[in-house]
Amino acid sequence: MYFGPFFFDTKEIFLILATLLLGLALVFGWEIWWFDKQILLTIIILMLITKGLLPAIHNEAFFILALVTIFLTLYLPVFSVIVFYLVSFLFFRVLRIV
Amino acid sequence: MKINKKIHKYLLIVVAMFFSYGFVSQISPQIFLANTPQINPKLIETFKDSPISIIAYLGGVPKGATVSDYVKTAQIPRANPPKDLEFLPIAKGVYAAGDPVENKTYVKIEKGTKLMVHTVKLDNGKTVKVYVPVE
Repeated sequence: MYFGPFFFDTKEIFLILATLLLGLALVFGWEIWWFDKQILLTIIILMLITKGLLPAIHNEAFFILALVTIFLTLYLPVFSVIVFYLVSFLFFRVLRIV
Repeated sequence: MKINKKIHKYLLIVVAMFFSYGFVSQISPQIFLANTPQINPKLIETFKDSPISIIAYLGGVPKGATVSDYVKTAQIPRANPPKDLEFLPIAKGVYAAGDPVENKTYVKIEKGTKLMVHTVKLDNGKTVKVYVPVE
């Protein structure tokens, strides 16, 4: 789908929609069970940045990592989750996944 | 062929995430202070020493210990004694308990106890390792 000069695939649109929903939840104080909204927003901002830097060919690896990272926010402190996310990318590069 | 490639890719993704989880749970607490971006000052001190001391530090080996010490520590046989045994001190940092059911004696060595390793040849020709606690 084109928005002006930019092309978005469905996954990217859903990721952006999730970010918007999360932003609305923060503004209006909606409850999200178990998840911490601020942590989720931080992680999603990082995800949007990395998604912007990755070519679409690596979408699969990116979305698997994104799901695991979001799940880990339930168990690990935010700093550990961020380190996990960034180190995973490093390993993805070392193992030539991306 | 295509399926094999896909399985290989998924496997690599799992391996990468497994390693990074290992990094986060084992090495990251040694580098960063209490889940904050602040670098642990102990790490900087260790950096000044030598590359071997960095590896030892990250592996949880006490300061001053060599890689050989680390290997020898790993070679000490491990056992799972029954839970109800009462360990009595026999030397500094060393405890022993007898299991009357299995007719075995278990020795527990406290973390941080220094041991000397001697190789002794018995009368029956068997060679055994003897661990002697050092004060």
